[in-house]
Amino acid sequence: MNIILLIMAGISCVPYYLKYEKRKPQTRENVVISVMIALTVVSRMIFAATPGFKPVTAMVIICGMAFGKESGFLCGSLSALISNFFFGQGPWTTFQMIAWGVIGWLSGIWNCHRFLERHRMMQTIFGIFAGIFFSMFMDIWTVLAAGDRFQWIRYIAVLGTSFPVTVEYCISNVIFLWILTPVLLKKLHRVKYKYGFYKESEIQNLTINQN
Amino acid sequence: MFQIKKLSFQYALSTVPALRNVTLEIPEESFTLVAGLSGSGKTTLLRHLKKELFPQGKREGEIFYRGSSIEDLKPENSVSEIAYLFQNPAHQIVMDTVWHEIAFGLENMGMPYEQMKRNVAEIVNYFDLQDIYDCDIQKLSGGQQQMVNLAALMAMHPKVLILDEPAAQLDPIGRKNFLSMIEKLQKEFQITVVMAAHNLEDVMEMADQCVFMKHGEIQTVGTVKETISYFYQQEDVIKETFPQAIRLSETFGMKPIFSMGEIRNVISNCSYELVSQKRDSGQTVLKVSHLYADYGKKKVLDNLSLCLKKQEMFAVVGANGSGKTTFLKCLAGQMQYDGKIKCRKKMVYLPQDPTVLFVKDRLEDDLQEAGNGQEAWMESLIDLCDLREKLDSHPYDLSGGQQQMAALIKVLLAKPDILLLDEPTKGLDRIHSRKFGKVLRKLLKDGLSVLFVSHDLEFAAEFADRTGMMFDGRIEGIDVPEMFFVKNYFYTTTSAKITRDMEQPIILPEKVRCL
Amino acid sequence: MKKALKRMHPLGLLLYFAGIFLFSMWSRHPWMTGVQSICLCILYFYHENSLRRIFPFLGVVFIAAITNPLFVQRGITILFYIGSLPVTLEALLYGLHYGCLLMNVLLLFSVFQRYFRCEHWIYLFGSTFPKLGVMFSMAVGLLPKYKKQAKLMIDTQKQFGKESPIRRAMKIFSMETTWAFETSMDQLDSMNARGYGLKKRTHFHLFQFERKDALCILEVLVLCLINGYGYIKLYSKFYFYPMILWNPMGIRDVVFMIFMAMQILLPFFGREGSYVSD
Repeated sequence: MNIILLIMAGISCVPYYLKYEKRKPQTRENVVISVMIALTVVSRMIFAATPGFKPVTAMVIICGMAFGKESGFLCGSLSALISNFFFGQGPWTTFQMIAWGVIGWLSGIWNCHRFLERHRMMQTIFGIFAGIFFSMFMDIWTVLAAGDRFQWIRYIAVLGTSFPVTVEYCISNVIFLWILTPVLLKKLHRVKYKYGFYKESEIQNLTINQN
Repeated sequence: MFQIKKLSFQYALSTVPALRNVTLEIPEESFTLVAGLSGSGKTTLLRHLKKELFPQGKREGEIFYRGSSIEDLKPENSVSEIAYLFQNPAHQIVMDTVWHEIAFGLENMGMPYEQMKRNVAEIVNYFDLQDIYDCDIQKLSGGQQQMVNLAALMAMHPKVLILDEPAAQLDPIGRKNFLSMIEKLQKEFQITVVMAAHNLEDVMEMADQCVFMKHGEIQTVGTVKETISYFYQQEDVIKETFPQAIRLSETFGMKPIFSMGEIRNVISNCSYELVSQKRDSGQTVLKVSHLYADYGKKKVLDNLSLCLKKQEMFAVVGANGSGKTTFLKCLAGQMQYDGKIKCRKKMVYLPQDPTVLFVKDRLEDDLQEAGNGQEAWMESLIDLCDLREKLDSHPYDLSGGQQQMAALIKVLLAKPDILLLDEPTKGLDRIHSRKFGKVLRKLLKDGLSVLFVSHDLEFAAEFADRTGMMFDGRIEGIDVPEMFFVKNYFYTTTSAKITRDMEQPIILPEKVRCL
Repeated sequence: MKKALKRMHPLGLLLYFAGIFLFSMWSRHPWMTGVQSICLCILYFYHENSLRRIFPFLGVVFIAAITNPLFVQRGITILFYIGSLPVTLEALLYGLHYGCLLMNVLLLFSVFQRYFRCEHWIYLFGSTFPKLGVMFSMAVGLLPKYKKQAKLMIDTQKQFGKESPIRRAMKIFSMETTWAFETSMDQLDSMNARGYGLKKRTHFHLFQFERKDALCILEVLVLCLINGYGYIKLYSKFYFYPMILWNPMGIRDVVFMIFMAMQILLPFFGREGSYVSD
């Protein structure tokens, strides 16, 4: 088993984490991210009735969308780590951490001008991309686990066998993104107001139902 | 300790000020009680005593802490000297385990490990948390959680404790423990306590200074007796929240007295008549016989039998963990049981926490979601529950009482014949819980039957048609409230305790008329 | 043994597991892999007490054994052909060996998970990543609360009529999100009120590093060194292809195998109940 790769996968998260540690303390960000992480993990349990159809990736993407790339990365990678405390820890944990972390990070970048949250087309593309990326990335782990060296032929074979699952990922990502993005962003808008993310001048322009 | 001068405040998105021209002095080492209806600005005022919690909005006036402006106070002093406890025990918890939660504040202050360990050990022993310090904090009961929260605050050695309705969500025993701990802390460490409360039973006699608030203004300030005498002279709904002893002494035209013996002496020389409720009940709608239920090895319900009549309101009272909620869950079909539940009618269960019912982000949408095709009835319910003005709000922005009403409407829209309520008055002040009770009584006339479990004895005494007590997995002593609360010696209302041996025992101050 | 692992200091625990992890992943020699498999199975059964639980792990071995010959045609002992594809004994054995190796890692992780809990992680990395540590603890603390609430919501919604499971899950999830964020306001306030982010955080824990932990770490390290030496000198290479050459097992091999077994079964030598020795 290619242990070097596994260890490198684990270590590659560290710079992001260190970078986050160095930032000025923002209590509300920490709270929001830990709530998002807990929700992501719980979503895996709420949708237990529908295997393969889980909003985890969509949640990570939305977190990246709403709170930026660093938060997206943290939400993705820590959700993977924590949910594996319940679903089984293994050498694949590091791979999952990176896969979801990168998805969250990319969605933060992609959404720099609210590109992603405004266009359904973009959400579709990103959802499919995220599904394929996750599947391909985790298949690398499968190949590494199954053989001593990385063999392209094995990789392609594994990709082939996991094709139905990949399609399922993509479809569920897109569906969840379509349904959850407007709903959650509206809720998060309110959260951002309540947490004081906005400055005083911005508040007057908001349209949030308040009593 | 604190001096507040002409403080006015308006929330950022609101059009009415939340505080108006508040001037108040809080002396050192005193116990100040801040009372008032929900929405009167108690919490807003309390939040102004700690600068980390200042709400966002427009503020005028000045606040002084120990002679200097509170905004100039050093952050680390403000954090450790002024401790703030929130209402909901579960939501303010930050960490996962009890010891970690207690250490959280100390970690933030950068305290060295050895000192921290000593502090935590001390606190765990003082608050008697040895059995639970290693537990998952979310698995504890509300009373224990609030005690842990208090312990976590005390670990930082504060000089001021600000408590925002700390006991509202607790059951009577948890509440008693909590209040006696506060009293002990104040006595032993000379801590200044500022406490907001809406249920003044047991709390009022502890206070050195009472502040009553109304619509963001201070209505009256003074010692307990002064403020009570002030309210004696006028009509005000706030009087309903006073302790029973005070309400009794007012009914009988006495000066405010807390001592039960004195009140007893006066009443025994008075002549009075009891106001009783007329009751009519129809045929049996729910018959439970020989019900058994358990959680693994622990038996909870043991051969429980009960009949509920049409248009009847039945109260099951009992301490925590006696199986009240389990009973309702069995009836609602959410739990496995043995035995027979005979019921042809539709039952709907309203859980303790009304927020588990809210689906949408606007109250009106939320109600419409539940009440498809029953607009007329929904409209009448909205009026009955007095929620018309709030239809545009977010359900989570409503007050506790309004949330309970909204949840009631939602379950009623499912057209139940029998309503099962779990602790319907939890966290409500007496004005709202009475309003809720009155709404229920009106609904009874339309043919509804209600079965509720509660440890709010006053509520049961006032509104129930029959009452029973949970013991050993059964319901014992089923009787009309007038008899039930008189026959009980310990587990009964304060009024009944006072007038127990008289010819005509009184169960509630509202149920008596002086002649 | 259970007590010994439970009482172990997180650092010792991590080293113990990491050492076995490295050796079992890097194992190239069937003898070593075999010893590890046997010892880890003992460890696993000690905790599980159920034979049925081993089947998924055997499945992994089986799959690895049969898939390898399909991709690798090296080796000289051809057993049979599938179509035109030769299936060799060497490839089959290599797959079997590899499957055992995988099983070892999985078994190890399932034991690891029992002992290495969240607070161990936070203890080890809390001082390097203080903020992350807090977030980690917070999320872990929120989980049971959210689960409980989700259960309540599901139970309550059920009485209002039937819905498709996906629809209901969606609704519950949306409700849960609202609830989660609304209730986290208090948490935010309570963190601010208690000075989070004001200064550099220190870190509180209930673990204590004592002489027994140092001893235990020393034992682990010494065994790691011995086994590492054996690995580099003797067991880092084993050729399955083109054909398997077995060296006869000598005394030296037995000694190294015993050392490997000792490293894995170290907690069994624990001084249970006699830990006060000082």
